[in-house]
Formats: sequence, C-alpha cells, structure tokens
Amino acid sequence: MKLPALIFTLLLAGKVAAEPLPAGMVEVKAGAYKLFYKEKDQKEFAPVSSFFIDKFPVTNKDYLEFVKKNPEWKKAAVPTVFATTNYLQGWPNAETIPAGKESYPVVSVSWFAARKYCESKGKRLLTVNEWEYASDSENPAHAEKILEWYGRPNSQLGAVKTGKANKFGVYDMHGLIWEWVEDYASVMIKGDSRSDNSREKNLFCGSGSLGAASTEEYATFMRFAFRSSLKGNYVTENLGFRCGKDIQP
Amino acid sequence: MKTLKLVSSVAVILALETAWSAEKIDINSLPVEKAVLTHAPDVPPPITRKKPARVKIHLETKEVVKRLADGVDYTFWTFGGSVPGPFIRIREGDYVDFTLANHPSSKMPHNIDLHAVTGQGGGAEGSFTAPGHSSTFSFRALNAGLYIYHCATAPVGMHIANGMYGLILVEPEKGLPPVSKEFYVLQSEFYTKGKYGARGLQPFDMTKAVKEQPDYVVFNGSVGAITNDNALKAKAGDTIRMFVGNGGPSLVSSFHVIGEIFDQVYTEGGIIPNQKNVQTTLIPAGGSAIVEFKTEIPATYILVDHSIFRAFNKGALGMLKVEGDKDATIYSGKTEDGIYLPEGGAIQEIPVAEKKEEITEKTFAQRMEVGKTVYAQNCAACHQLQGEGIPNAFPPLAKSDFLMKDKKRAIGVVLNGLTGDVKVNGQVYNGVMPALGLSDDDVANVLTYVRNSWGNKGDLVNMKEVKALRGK
Repeated sequence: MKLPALIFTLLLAGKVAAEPLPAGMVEVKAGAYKLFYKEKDQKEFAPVSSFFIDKFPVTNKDYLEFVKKNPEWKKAAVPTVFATTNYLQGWPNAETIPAGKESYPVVSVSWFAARKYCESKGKRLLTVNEWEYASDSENPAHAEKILEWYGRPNSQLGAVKTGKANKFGVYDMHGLIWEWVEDYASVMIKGDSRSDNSREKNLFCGSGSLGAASTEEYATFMRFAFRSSLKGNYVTENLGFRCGKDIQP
Repeated sequence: MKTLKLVSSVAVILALETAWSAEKIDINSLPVEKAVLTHAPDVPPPITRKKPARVKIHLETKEVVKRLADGVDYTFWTFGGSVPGPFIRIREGDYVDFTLANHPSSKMPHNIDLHAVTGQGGGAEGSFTAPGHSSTFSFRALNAGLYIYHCATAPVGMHIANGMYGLILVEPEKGLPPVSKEFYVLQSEFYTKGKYGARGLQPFDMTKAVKEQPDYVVFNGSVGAITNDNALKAKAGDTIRMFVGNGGPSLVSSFHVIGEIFDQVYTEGGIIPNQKNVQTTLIPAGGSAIVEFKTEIPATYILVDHSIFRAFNKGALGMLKVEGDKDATIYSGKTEDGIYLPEGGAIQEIPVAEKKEEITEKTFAQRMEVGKTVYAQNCAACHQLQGEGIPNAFPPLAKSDFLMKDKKRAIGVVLNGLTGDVKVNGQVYNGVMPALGLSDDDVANVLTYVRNSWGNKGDLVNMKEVKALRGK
C-alpha cells in the first residue's frame, strides 16, 4: 500500500486558492468523489480538496528538458529497480525524441520517474481519488466513448489536446493514454481470491464486482484493473502521467 | 475432486485410479518438454508417453483487429493471436510451468484462469500481467478432463466477450481410444454496437452484453470459420472425435450435428463416455463436451447450436464435409419429386425493424462490393454463393434470362417477394421467395451485384429506381 489515499484531503476543502495559477495548470475545485472501491468503514463519498492539475499530460518535449537537467533519468542510465529496461523505448537515444512527436505524451516511463519529474517541478503525482474526480469519469455522457477507447489496441498515439476540455478545463483524461497516479496500488490485488476475506480487493472474475460501487462502470473497472497490474518500475507503451499541485493558502 | 480421504469401497477404487495424486513427486527429476499448441480446428497429437513430464507452456495475450463476419471487423482480445486461443494438450499428472506474456501493444492487463488448475483462481492469481510483461506459475494437472481456460481480469465478462478463451485437454493416464480424426470446435458469442451484419469495425456493446443478447453466436471465432472452403474434412468410415468448448460468456449451447448421431458423449468434458446415441448435447458456458461418431456415409454434416435462431440468424453454423462412396442402404437421397400445394403458396414478409439512415447514391464499384456481402447474408442460402441455385428448388441467378430481361421486375421481386410459377432458362420453378425487408440502398447494392456477376452483364441499379417501385 502506497500513500493512504486521503491523507491530506480534509485540510483545505472549500477554501479559495490564494496562490496564483501555475503555468499550464488549472484549478480543480473541491468536491466529493464517489469511491469506486471502498472499505467497509468508509463513507460512500470521499472529500477532495481543491488542487491544481496539469491541463495536459506531460509531453516528450517536457520530458526531454527534464532528463537534460537530470541525467540520472536518461534512457539506459536508470537502474532497473526504478524502471525496467524498456524505459523510454520509443526514443531513438537518450536525448532524442522520435521525429515529429514533441507534443505527444511521454510514455514508457515508470512511477519512480514520473514522481521525480513532478518533484522537479515543485509538483506531485495525483492521487487516485483526485485523478478520478478530475477526469469526470462518472459522467455517463461520455462513459460509452471511454469504453470504446479501452476496447481498441493502442496502435495510434496522437499529440496531446485531443478533443475538448472537460468540465474542469482539463484535457486528455480519457482517450489518449493511461496515467500514473501516486497511490496506483491502493486497491491492491493479491490475486484471484474468490474468497472475500480481509482487505484484499479482488478484481478477478465474478469477485471483481464485490465491493464495487457500480458493477456497470466497466471503464472504471478497467482503470482499476490496469493500475493494479503495475509495479513501480514498470513501463508500458500507453502509460504516461501528469502532475498535480497542492494549493497553498 | 480429491477422493483419497473417503473410505467406501467405491472411493478406494477411485483412489487407486488417482493414486499418483497422493504421491509426492520430485518435479526436478521429471523429463522436460515443450507443449505443442494448435489453432482451431486442429488438435495436437495424442500423448504417447507413459509417465508424467514437466511441460513448458508459453502463451501470449494480444489485442488484434480481425474479421468477425464478411464486411465486419472486431477488436479481439486473444490468447495466441486467434479466437479461440490455442488447444493445449497435457497428460494427467504432468507438472506444468505456464508462462503468460502480455504483448507490449496491449492496452489491458490480462491473466488466465484454467479450469484444469487446482489452486487460487485457476492460475489467475499467478498470471496477472501488465502490458509488455510476462508471468510464470506452475501447477500439477491433478484431474483428467477437457477444460475451458479464459481471461479473468475485471471486468471479466468483457475480457471473455472479446475473445479470451480456449480449451485445455488433460489426457487421462491411459489416454483416449484412438480415432481417425480429432477436431477442436469452440462456440462463443459477440455483442456489437451494430446489429448482425452491420458493416465496419464494430465496438463491444456493454448494454447488450449485460442483457445477454448477442448479435453473433459463432464457432471458432467468426461467422464461417468452419464452413464452405474452411469446413472440417473427413472420409466416410472415419471415426471422429470433437473436443467442443463453450466460451460463452453467457449462452448455453445445444450442440447438434445435422445428419449425424453422436455414438457417445463425454458430457461436460469428463473422462467417462456416459451416454450413447445422443442427438443434441448441452454445453454450459465455461464448459465442454467430447463427442464421438463414425461417419458412415458421405455428406455435408452441419454443426449448429440447436437454439436454432442462433444458427440461422447469428452465425452458429459449421460444416463437416465427408467424402466417400454413397450407400443407399443407409440413406437414399431424394427419390421422388412432386408438387403439393393444397392452398397455394403465400408470401411471407420479413418485417423491417429499424428505420434506415439516409444514404446517398454510390458508384458501381461500391455497389458491387457491398452487394456481395448483402448477397451472402440474404440470398446465398437459397440461390447459392455462385448464383447457381438448386435444381428443382431455387432458380439460378447466374446467366438467368428471367433476372436479366427486366430490371424493374427484378427490383420488384426483391422488394415484394415472388410466388407461383416462374420460368427461368426454360425450367419452371414453383416456390416462394419472401420479401426480404432490405433498404432501398441494399436492394440497389444486391441487384447491381447479381446482375453483374457470374457471367451476367447489366448496369448499375440506383436507389432512386428502387424507391420508385417500392409499394407498387
């Protein structure tokens, strides 16, 4: 279990941001996120404080700047405990972005790398609850589209800023890539246990529906299943990230 | 079931049968071999060794776009790049090292639950794998039988609905009796946004899936996977064994072979042939059956799900073509042909259920292409794929004077159906053709196609011409 999901959420709920908006970010106003998986003693909704979020996923161009300043995160320089050997596999070499893909989201990066990147910007990764809340994914208006995207193999990646911003002014939460979150493994799968013992959340077979808020939100199931298949040093061709930031009073 | 703790005499016998399961074996002393995997309808050869082995299995999960039906594509999630996944054959008592590799281009994590596995999740727990990674787990094949395997990642229904299943045979220690031919047939269903036959790449439809109302029910992963040129083949006198699975995700199959009787069935994929002379055997979703029969005489035997609308309207059809010498003492074929019309034929109409969207006129080439599919779906069952018709029953379209002489009449026939005597190339036919309920666009497509195929030379049929004759 990584960071407990809600450790800081109660602190600032409802307050107006005193801090000016950082470049490239928008403010997501405080609200309540309907937990998809909850422990028995948890309430149905979790409060989410206001926070800043990157409008777009981090691009290849952004990431290139980062590795130039932080050479220990260059391709082939990273030990495998922090990223598997296919880290940045689409890049021809340590300081070259694939031609014409400057504004594509950076993918094949590990959780450790994503965290480090955000840290270098004075930011942090989003929590699961923040990400899900900001993605407006419970909105049935686009549930079907999300599902269709999940159903397609990820042959064609495009530049960021696909489609329209969602109600928070954020782009590309769905339909482009998967994104790392800080507590990606907070719904931890220990396996298939169709027993309903203890705290293991079972995302397999019939038992996957136990404890879920809604068994019809297939897209959400898939995001949780995907996240729980990861380890911190994993990279995949369709997994990138964006950063968030606390709002200082 | 492990029977060793039971004490009755029956249990003792069973316990002896599975005595090895109590033995502790030294897995490191077992001979190592790689499992042979085959794609449907092929089955790996019977296992001849008399001792357990340590068997290595490597299976890849991959998401691919492939044909579901003529003109219809689907993004399948697969084991081994095909639907169904490969056939795995091992022997009772084998120790299996199973590696599941998830292709880097996959969008989803996957895993595998083999019903042949005794253990957590049937292996799902040990094989949960992110894209671009692989997992290995090991199991002992304790129970002989024919088992389904499938992906069990949440939401499991969608992973199965997209094609992630196959069969694993754990051969009994003494093997199965030898037969001439073995086949691998797997039934499953697909839920698409568009209705049956709607063209293009069709996405998964969750609402239909939850309601358990599929558009497609197929054998071996697509409409026509084992029909016509792809039919299963055998010779008269062969003994046939079919390993039949039902991947589901939801429907139960009433598996039947038209024109044959199963000499024996191992129901539900167990290892005892427990019934003789079976016409239709029930195969549960996530289950299997082994059917055996001898092909006494040549014929094209038709595999169906005898929940028959699935066969007629959703694709659940397969063929076993058997060649050889006829034997009229078993089956004569038609010996007399007469006409019997007590009340005259009445024209039936297939209702038009949906409002068709507005479509613009197409070019000749476009109509030919689409028309071919429309023909295959609506006409070929009677008039045959090459328009040759069936003597004394359905008139030919290829080089048909009746078809080519009057374009307007041809449009009218497709729109309104036809009954009563009709003379085609000098031959009189008396049958009933139903009104097909096709859209103006599809009538134009199919008529352009049939009037310009198999030696026919006509011109383009426009939607406008069809519209003008509708209702007249």
